[in-house]
Amino acid sequence: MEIDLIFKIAGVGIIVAVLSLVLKRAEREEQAMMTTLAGLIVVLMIIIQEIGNLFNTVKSVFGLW
Amino acid sequence: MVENILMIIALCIIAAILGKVLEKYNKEQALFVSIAACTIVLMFIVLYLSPLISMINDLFARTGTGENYSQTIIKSLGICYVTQLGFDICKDCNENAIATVVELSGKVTLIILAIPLLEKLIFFLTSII
Repeated sequence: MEIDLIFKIAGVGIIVAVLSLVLKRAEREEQAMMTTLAGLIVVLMIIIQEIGNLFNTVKSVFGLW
Repeated sequence: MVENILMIIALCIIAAILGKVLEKYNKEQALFVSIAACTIVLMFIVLYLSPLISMINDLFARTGTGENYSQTIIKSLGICYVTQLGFDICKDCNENAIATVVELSGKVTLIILAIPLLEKLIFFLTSII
């Protein structure tokens, strides 16, 4: 599960970047901004879920509380 | 762990390069790649730490002291572990103010954790003199 997560996130980032560039060329600034925001939110959700898993594991392993 | 160290190093190098590639287009995605890489490697390491921790607990149990000192040590290790992650991620985002606040909160938590031990030590010392 580890390796493909990084490639998934990098892929989303690159695709969003290319899409926003294309949209900027087509004089659609707002949609470019919306696409970037959407990509940001998608990746943020993945990251938050991953960090949540890490914190739960650390909590259980170290017996934090 | 020994046979996986190469995989971890390769993973981190790839994540660093991908981060650099992404930095040119939008900075946030580059940050996300580095956060993801840190989280994955830390998750991997913490899974290897749990047998180590149970071994430490056994060693401390063998010393015969009724008190459970090893639990405090392991707890502080966990706090340092997570605080360091938060501190470095905040520094990556060039948010030094937030980073110092995270570090300060980690230190305060550690001090609070260590207060009972200090108390026992002082009582013990005064009882000797």
